[in-house]
Amino acid sequence: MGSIGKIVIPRLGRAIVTLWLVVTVVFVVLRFSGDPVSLLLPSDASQQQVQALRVELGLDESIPVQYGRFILEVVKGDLGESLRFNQPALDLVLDRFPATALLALVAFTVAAVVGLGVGSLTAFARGSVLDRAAIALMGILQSAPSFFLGIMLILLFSVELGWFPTSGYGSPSQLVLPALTLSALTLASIARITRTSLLDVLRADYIRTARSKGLPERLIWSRHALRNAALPLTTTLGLELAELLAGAVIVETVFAWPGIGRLAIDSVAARDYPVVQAAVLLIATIFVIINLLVDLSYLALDPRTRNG
Amino acid sequence: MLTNRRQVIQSATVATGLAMTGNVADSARADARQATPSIDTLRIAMSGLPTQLDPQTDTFIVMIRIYNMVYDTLIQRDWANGGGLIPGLATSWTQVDETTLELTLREGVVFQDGSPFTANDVKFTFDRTLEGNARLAATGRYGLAEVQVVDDLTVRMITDGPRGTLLSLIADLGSEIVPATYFQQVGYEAFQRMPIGTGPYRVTEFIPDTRITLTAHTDYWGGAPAVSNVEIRPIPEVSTRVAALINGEIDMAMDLPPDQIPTVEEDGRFAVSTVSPLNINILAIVGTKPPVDRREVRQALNISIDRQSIVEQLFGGLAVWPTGLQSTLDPLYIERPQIPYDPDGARRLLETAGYAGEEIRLAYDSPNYYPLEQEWTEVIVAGWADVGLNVTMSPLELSQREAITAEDDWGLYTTSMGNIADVDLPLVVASATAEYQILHTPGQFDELNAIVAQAQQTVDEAQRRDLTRQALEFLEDFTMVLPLFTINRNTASLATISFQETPLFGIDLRPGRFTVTN
Repeated sequence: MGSIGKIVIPRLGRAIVTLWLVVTVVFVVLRFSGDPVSLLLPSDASQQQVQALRVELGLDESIPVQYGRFILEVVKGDLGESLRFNQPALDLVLDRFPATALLALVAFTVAAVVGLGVGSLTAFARGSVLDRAAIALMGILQSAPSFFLGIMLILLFSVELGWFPTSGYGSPSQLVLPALTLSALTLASIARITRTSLLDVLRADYIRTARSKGLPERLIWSRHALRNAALPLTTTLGLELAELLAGAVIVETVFAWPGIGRLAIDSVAARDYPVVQAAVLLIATIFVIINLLVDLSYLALDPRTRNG
Repeated sequence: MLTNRRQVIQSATVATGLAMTGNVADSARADARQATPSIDTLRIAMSGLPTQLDPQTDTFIVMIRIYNMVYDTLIQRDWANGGGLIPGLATSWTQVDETTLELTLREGVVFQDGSPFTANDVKFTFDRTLEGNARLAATGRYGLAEVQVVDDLTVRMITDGPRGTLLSLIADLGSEIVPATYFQQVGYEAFQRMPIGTGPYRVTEFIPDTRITLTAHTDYWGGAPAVSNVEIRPIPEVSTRVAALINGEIDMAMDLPPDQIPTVEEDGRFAVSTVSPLNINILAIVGTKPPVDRREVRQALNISIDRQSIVEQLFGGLAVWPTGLQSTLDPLYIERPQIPYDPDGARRLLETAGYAGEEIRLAYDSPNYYPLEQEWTEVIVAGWADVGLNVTMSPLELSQREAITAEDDWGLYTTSMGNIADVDLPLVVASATAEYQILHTPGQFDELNAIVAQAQQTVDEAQRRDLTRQALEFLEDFTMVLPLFTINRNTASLATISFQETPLFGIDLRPGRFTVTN
């Protein structure tokens, strides 16, 4: 327990500093790069009306004053109202979160299962035709832009074969194509990392020792190779999951999926400050939590960290 | 009000959850594949969904489309016959004196909740624009002093002076009638999500970024609508929108760029409707810094744009090469010659001006706001280079474009404006009251300001037309606004559907303007 505390408490402190930095950078960058009032009001709005709206939205104050007020509100848990939706920004972001989480988790599961499988298989059969074919395929998946891959999948599975709908959110069949598209890149990187980590481990001294003392190959893999390769893999898996949960603007756009990524991008374009801030805060929090979980998993996987 | 809003969000979540468990989309698609002739639910996809639905708050295109289904204006425009004013919720109107307009309202009209439409609703709607609410786009738009209810079906609009443009504005955006009682019951924020109006369809479901469902208003004063339900879906990516149409998931795909039309037409099951909207793309000169301070340079810029080639080749003819800043649907339309393409003339003008290749910076929208904006900008810049004009392209985000001022180091920027003189000319000028006018050179246009202000205050139509002519001639002579073209808006739908987007971006499903043949 003590060791968990030792790991968690300093990390929690760092997490809060990270969140503060992220939110501050977003706050400053947004405010120096465009004007929401000009986009909200029609072009014939009078100067008085523009000024009145600035006052109403608190945009007439200096940026340090706006910032101070913003931080106070955030501490109180209030992220403000969306300028476009006229609804609490956090509600809007949280409303989109189930769609993003569903897509991310399904894509991640596909990527993790297939990626780990392909990675182990190719490491095991390194140098074979299967290995080389798989590496080539992973290269294609990793370099195909997701809008291209997405549209190709739509043309094949929707327009030609009629198996799945092209787009939308609501039924399981609508989830298939966006999840496949989104999983492609992650799948390829997981497969590559798995293969490389396994090959690294298999070259290690302790494996040679295990082999020389006549341990069966099956036990070498399960007891030594996979377990040691799991460390770098856990970090990769954690980061990939966090990235998927941050929303995938392109996949969401191609498949009309109502996730956080599209909301955030639309809100940036409209300079809808509160929504952008809420979305970034949520995404940063997800990253921080997942990183913390990855660190904790090291405790279980690597005995050395328990004494540190 | 907060509870109301939360209820809406909750019920939306429940609806989504239910759909997840059934195979709703699957069966809908299977039905469509069999090309069932009668349509119970018309499924329309467009590039995005509105964020709110109060017509007086915002006037973005995606919202205007829905406003047209939910609300009516007192006066409508007869798009099929030259754009003149025709009765809407008002059956007649008379100018009692220079500052008083009396309107007689249609009898027997009911809102979608069954409550009657009366003069109180008209007063409530226009009074909202007098409250100084900065968030409402319609605030202060009409020059109204007071709205008087004479009786249930008679209302008087008193202006703060003679207002020749009042009728045009009443037929324009922001003048849709909202119900006084319902609005006050539910409050502003709930109304933005679940509005009612007198129009042919009522909003029954609104899930931001996912869908809006509307149900026919069977007691609609213009007759029962042709289709019982309408479902609006956002499909931002054009290729997906077209694939969804071909795949039978939707019946109508809006916002179709010209290069997608052949794909849709090849299929054989669809018809493409196209309309020239009340909107013109323009290039505006920023400020009066060299070299654009010289009129010859501005004129050279103007006449070395090959508008005809762009319209024919880039837009496949689905754009209009205008004669000026006026749509032919403007009731005050004044016939004028088309803007010439004369590269040799441009070269001579540049020589006269002593132009020696000084750089002119052109700001254009990035990401593109209009279809093919990058392409047409490149074609124009290449044409300018041919006559010796050194124009460089600088991408600029939309939220920054609006803040361009005369002090900036820009020579030109691309933008667009409406092209009904009464409504839109006041936006061009660098007046003291408008914040985001098209031209950013206060003091340069006192003469133009005076003409436009006088036109706004002139009730007599012949006089107003003459003033409009003077304003347009001034603009042409000064060459600070270069009209480019009006790009058609294209919609593909099942061939059994007869539909056309209105020139003012509306989805008009009123009986007589929309039919489905079985």
